[in-house]
Amino acid sequence: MKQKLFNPVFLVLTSIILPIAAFEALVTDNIAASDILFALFCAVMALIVVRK
Amino acid sequence: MTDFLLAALPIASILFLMIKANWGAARAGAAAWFVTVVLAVFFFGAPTDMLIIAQAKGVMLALYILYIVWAALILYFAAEEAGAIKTIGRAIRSLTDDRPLQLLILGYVFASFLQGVAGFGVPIAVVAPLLLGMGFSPVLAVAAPMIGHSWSVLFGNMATSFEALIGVTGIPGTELTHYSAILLGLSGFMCGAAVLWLDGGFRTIRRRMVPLILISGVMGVVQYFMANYGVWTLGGLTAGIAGLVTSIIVTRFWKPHPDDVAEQVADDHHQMPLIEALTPYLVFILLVTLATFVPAIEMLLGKTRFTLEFPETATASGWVIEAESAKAIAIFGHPGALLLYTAAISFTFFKLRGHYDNGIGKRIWQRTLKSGLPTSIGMVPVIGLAIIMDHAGMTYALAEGGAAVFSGTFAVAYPVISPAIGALGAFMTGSTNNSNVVFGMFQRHTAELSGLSTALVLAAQATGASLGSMLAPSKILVGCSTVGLSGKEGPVLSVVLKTGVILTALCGFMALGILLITTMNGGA
Repeated sequence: MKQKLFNPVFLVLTSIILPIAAFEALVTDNIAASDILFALFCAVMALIVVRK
Repeated sequence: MTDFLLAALPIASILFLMIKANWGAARAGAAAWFVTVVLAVFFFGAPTDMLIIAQAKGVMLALYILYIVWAALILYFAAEEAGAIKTIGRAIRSLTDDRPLQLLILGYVFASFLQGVAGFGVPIAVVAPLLLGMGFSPVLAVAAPMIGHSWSVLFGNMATSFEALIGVTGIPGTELTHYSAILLGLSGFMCGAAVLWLDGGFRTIRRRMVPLILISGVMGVVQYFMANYGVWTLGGLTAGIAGLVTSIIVTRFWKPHPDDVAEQVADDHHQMPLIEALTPYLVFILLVTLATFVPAIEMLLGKTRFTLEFPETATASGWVIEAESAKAIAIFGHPGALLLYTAAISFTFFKLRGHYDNGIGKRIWQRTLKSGLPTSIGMVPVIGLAIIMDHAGMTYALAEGGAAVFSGTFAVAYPVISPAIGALGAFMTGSTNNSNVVFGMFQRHTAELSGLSTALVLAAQATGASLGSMLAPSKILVGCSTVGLSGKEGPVLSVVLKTGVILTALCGFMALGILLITTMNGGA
């Protein structure tokens, strides 16, 4: 699981997809989904920080 | 003043983590991204929806750049595996035995030419591995083209960033070209000198002063005339071509200093004619020319576009960013697409000529993945933090703080700080174009309030933004990925940062000198 989370392909794809998905949810007024997706993106940023 | 200090924190964090703590750009960028978000929310009143919109814009810009990065890597490895890169390096070595002159021609002249053709990090992605292959250190291989190409960014790549400055300030291009081309020409000489300095300090510059003056002089003069005769879109390209021609002529008459003769590198691959080795780059130039100057092809390739429409955002403190479209990615006409076509044509050509071993496709893809992934991880946080800073009003607070020092009695000295603001914008947004968009109107207002020449201050902004592109973390990521320095970008940033600060300061003093001369002559 840890290996999957720090996988560079996973990190690249999620850091690209999540903000766009959060934005799409925002413009369709789905605020809760937008906030959750952005929080997930923050988690991906945290993974990048701790990844050596 | 508090706003200025707080706004400077993300930049300070990323610089500290990369240079002092020796973190890679991806980790440092992500950590600084958190610093930016916390400051934006708690001190600059940024709402969550603004963060989401800014980050989505950041991803769109990252996609725009990554398209080029991945395509450039595929092209590079396709050429490298065929032995083309080594052949080109050998050709440059045979042009002259003078090692610093080789560095000048590739890291300064060829990089400037490539900026005229493509831009968006292509000069670094192409030149850095060539220099590495010629035996230069990885840090120097990335730093030289980073510094060398920067002066030609404004009028390079069809002068898109100059057009942006015209668009945002509403001042006709013909009023801006005179001072812009003078400052860029002089800065071009400085960039060339800085590239030589990287290889051996001031002694190296002194020994090559004649070729440096000739080459940079011809490039600067050609760019000046192109810009001032209304064809600024071709200013960078023609200057680059003129520089290459001058370099070839100069090397015919130049005798290298005995201390600086390049070591002979043993060739461990079969010979390839130079024209064959140059095929990828000739094809690329041809494709760019067709896609730029043939309206039917340009229209056809630009038909399928990917973009997003972003609504207006505002912070609690009233900083408003108007609704805008994302930088559209023309799927088939983007510079990355042109690089991909070039890679496909070159691959087929080299395959037919028998330059590849079995399993070449897999090998190129694996090498591309290994280099491209670390770069790609870093791109989203680095660009994201810059756009969040811009949307939260933090970038503006930085510029305002800098400009405040030069208000009142010191207003006459404002041209000194003007290029620094431009360079800061390019560093933060990773783009000369964006710096001109963000700070163009601010610089115009400041010049008008201070009673200074608007054309001169905007030229100083544009030149600073052009020079500042050498500091763009996204470009450093691109360069490092091609020479095996992914995750170790700190030393490169350290070198270009010192050089960039000095060159920007010199540009500021040149702008001040021009102001004083024109004032004494009754102009300004």
